[in-house]
Amino acid sequence: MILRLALLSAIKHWRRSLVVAGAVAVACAVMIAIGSLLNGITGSFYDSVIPNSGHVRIEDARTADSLNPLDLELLLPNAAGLVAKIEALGDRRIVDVEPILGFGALLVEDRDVTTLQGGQDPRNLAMRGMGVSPDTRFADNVRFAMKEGSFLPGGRGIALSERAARLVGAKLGTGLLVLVQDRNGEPWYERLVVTGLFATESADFDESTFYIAEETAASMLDAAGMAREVRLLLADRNDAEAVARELAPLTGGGGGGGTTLRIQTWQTINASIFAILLFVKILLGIIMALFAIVSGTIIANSSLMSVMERIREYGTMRAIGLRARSLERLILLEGLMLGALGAALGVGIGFIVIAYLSRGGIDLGGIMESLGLSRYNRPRGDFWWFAFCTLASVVVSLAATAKAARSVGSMGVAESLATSS
Amino acid sequence: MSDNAGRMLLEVRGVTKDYRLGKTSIHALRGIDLSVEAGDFVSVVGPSGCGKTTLLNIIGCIDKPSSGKIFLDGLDVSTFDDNGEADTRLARIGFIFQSFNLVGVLDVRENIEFPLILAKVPKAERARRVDRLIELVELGEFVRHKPDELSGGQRQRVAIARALVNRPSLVIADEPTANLDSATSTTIMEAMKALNEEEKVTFIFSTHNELIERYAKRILLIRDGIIIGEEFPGEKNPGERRRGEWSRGSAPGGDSGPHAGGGAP
Ligand SMILES: Nc1ncnc2c1ncn2[C@@H]1O[C@H](COP(=O)(O)OP(=O)(O)O)[C@@H](O)[C@H]1O
Ligand SMILES: [Mg+2]
Repeated sequence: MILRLALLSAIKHWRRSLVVAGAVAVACAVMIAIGSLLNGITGSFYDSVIPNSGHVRIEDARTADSLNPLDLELLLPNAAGLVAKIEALGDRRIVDVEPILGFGALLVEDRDVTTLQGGQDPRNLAMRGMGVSPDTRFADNVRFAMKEGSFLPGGRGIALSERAARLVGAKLGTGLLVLVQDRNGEPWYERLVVTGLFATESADFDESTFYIAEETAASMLDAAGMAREVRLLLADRNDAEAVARELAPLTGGGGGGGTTLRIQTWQTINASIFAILLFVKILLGIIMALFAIVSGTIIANSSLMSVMERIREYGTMRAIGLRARSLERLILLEGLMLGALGAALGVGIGFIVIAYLSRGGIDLGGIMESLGLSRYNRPRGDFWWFAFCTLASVVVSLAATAKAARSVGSMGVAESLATSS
Repeated sequence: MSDNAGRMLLEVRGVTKDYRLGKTSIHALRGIDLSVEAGDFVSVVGPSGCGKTTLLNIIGCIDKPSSGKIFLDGLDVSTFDDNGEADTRLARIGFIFQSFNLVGVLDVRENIEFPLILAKVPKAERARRVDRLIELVELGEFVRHKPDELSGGQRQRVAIARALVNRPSLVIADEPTANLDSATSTTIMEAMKALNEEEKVTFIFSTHNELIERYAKRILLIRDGIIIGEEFPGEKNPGERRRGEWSRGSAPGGDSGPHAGGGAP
């Protein structure tokens, strides 16, 4: 009957119950939505940025201070040897080791000069070329965003974005001129065939990057066996630091030519993104805390008021023999029920909000793109986060009710009975 | 419900109660001595503000005296802590209030059953006792009604049943008829009187209504926190004499009786 009493009291004072449950529900839903948004951002970061950049990266130590990240002076002279050495380790944690050869290039429209009107130059676009193995394990964002053709089926293909292709008048199957300056400063060009067109979620990326086979790039640049970096893909990203530490001795003379190498992990590679993510987390954390405080205050006030309205009823129960502690428990039980109801509502609302937002995604604008992330964030629900929010809502509601329960429990019985209501 | 009538049930020894209001203090009770035997039917009578509620609250363990002692069933309840007091109220005392004080969300049956649940009485026994009391206060057709669907008299009968359900040693009723019309007041007092005579329930009730006080076997006259006299309506002469004494003491301009003037040294 105590349970029934709490339930009936909550129903009788339904207006206040609604306020309490509503405050819990809103706070819970907001926490769920914000948490899932954050989860979406970090999730897409882990899903796209890390597989693209690799878990461990070995590069020339001077790269960090170089003004031109595509400077050919910074190529690793003996990348092939380094890859072979790492592969020879047979380390199970390392899934893949690849040399990646990044370089600056000019894409030029492949057109018979005779068809050009007087004075009109062929269209061109300055871009960053990435020489990768055609069956690379990296560049997920491109490989899973192919619109036409396939990534790099043959040795002489080029994969670029639909956007970039449009800018230089190329289509799937047509030729395209790739113009570079080789390591000796000589200009060199190659006519490649467009084998794949992609469209990632980042316009910045689409306008700046194309892919060709690493072999082709090496021959164009006169850089056989060299690479800008060696990337490692690990089975578990948490092993990155340990692996990096163990690779340190290998890189001593491994790069050859007296270059000092630097081994970076995904944490250090993406340090700036982490800093921004941390900032976003703190910001959202503050918003969540504010919501928790505001709704906690609302719950505390309305449960205090609903309890104060019933002082005489509580005084009567105590006169009949209900102990102060039991009365406090009765009031807490009501708070618990309302908290649970509110949390359930909040989870429902949160679920709907997430489902709705993740259909289109929230446009977070260029900041996300400049981080190499999609500008459209899709919140991701996470079971544990839902569970945490539910629990936190109930706890906040209980804590807020506890104050009201205390104030009634500590009041004298005669005083409670004399209170008019 | 206690059948050992004549046994000393309640003893109040030198009880005072002061309320502090800022710098001044109000002496609500100024030294009450009082004994009540089991089976008695006592009325506490006096004008508003004389200390009736304060006295009944202290006897009923819902307020503590500033000094003095209360013995209930031989136990010194004035030394009990909060839980001890609550348990004493549950087991030994029944309360009937002026404004009924039923639990609004519970129906008649549940209101009567409530103290039994607090006392952890088994379900079958609860049903048995509640049934009997519902019959006793003649509310059979209203068991599923909520308090706000009942008349004042019916509500007070629910309160009486609730007060009796744990078989208390003592039932305390603070102005039980003050919110009722005179016809209903009469039926409530008749019901209490019947319970006293047939079930041997000990009652202490307060009133400032002369018609109501006559139902008591014994009337305690209170004024300014002191018992100034006692009447026994069953015995004609002594009662008359004491009432006269009180009237004289309170008469304006009359010679100052022993208890007149609260501030007398
Ligand atoms: N909680 C309180 N605080 C201060 N004074 C009180 C309080 N309760 C009662 N009093 C005072 O004590 C005196 C007796 O009050 P009470 O016992 O309620 O009288 P009665 O029930 O006979 O009308 C009155 O003067 C009243 O004002
Ligand atoms: Mg009173």
